[in-house]
Amino acid sequence: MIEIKVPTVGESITEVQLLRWNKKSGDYVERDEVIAELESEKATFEVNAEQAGLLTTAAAEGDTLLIGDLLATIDETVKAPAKPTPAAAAPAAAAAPKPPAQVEMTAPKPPVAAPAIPPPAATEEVKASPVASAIIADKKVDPKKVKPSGPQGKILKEDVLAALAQPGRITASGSALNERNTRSEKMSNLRKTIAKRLVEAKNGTAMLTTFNEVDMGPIMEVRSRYKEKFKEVHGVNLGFMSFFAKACSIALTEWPAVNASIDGDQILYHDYTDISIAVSTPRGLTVPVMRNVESLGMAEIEKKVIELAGKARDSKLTAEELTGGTFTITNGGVFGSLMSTPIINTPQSAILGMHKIQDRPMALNGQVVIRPMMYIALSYDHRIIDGRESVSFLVRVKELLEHPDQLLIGKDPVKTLLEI
Amino acid sequence: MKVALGAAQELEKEGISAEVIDLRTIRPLDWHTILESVKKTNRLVIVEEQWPYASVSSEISYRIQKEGFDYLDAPIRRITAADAPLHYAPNLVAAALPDVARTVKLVKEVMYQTK
Repeated sequence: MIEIKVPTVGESITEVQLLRWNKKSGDYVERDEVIAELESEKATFEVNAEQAGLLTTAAAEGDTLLIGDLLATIDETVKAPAKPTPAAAAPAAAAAPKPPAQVEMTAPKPPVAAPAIPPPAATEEVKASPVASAIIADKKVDPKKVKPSGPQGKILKEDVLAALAQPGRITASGSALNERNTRSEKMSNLRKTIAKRLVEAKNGTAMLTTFNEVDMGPIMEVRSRYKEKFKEVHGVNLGFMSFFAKACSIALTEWPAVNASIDGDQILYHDYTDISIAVSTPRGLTVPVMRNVESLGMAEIEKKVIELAGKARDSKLTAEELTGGTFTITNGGVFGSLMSTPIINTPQSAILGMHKIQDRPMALNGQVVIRPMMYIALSYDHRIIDGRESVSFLVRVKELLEHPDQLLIGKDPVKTLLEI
Repeated sequence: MKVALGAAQELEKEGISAEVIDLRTIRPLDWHTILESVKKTNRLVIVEEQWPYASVSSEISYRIQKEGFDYLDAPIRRITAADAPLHYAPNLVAAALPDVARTVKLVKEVMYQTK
């Protein structure tokens, strides 16, 4: 049983109409006999029987068919009816199991795919050296899956052998899918430092992570309300980083242990907050430092972030700008991370991870409401920060972010006014 | 023959292994040996110190394309003397006759190594 499909007639043509059947379902057809007429946007053409046999149609006259749709099936096991002379039937039957050699050579998937495509056209498509086409025909390789390397896209023997050894499709990048290439590249110094520092942090600290989630609605509201004005006055965009840096700075002053570091057998408390921000550069991750965030204004923070990020991208950061932070903020959310456990930037003892803002249903006052939520993660060194401090710190950050007005003086302005 | 062997040596340095066949006689022409070699390498470069027109190399090319078409991965190429009477001046003789450098170049061409 072989299937006759709607052949490809032209590049832009995706569907054809079945004009009429020249043979009826149940008819016996000879090989190459015209069985149907199809009409495309451009022309009408005929479909021939690929084999002699019993025709079963699969579409009705007037149907619109897509290229590759099933048109009919031919049962080639059915013998020709007695009517035609035996002499005529015998050659047809003998020729039946073997498609013409030319077709086989150029289009190795013989009967199904190449019904009405005239063999000469197919020959033009494939350019191969004689030995290559001989192997293609012999091993039934699909020439389209062979990546030609010869002049003018000619397939050479090596290409066919390579395709046989790697029976995968060719990917867009030109390498085969199942290829198992490895390549080694020298580690850059930056990468080496990153690797060393991260392993040090993992091995040398008692690191663990606590999570919380922040309703970003209030901040987004502030941003959308004052975005233009802020830009107009300060010349920088109002981003999330300033809110986070400010909130962390306030929370750090309240929970000094999070802002401390271990120095030998001493704990070094910092009365200032130098916040490192993780910046991804083409060469790797760098963490430049914003000094004295506690005394910076929002616009100053935004300007500093832009300045540092720009310097990091151009590899213009000085050693001084890269050392001495007391706390780190990393934003995996820009890449779409929903939740992660950041690694402490030693010798600091905590790092805050920002993540993607996602609309999630939240229960508020017994109601389900959709709020823009962000998970925040705090990885901290349990050697000097206890659970109470770390969790309280994170809750405080959450509180500050959800009530941006508190960022001004670190307290509820109304309560401050009322002195309660 | 010297040119062919010299070229093969030169090519070996670059990682191309060429099989050199010394025909010795041209009638009978031992084209079976050439065909067997072509089956291995899928390529043929003929070095002939003779005029190119209607020469032994053209006869060999005909033979091989007829008997071994399906084994060829590149066109058969040949390097012959210039299609002109041979000069007496040594520099012109050198330019007219096949030499190692041009043979090497031709072999690289049939190897699809363009340099």
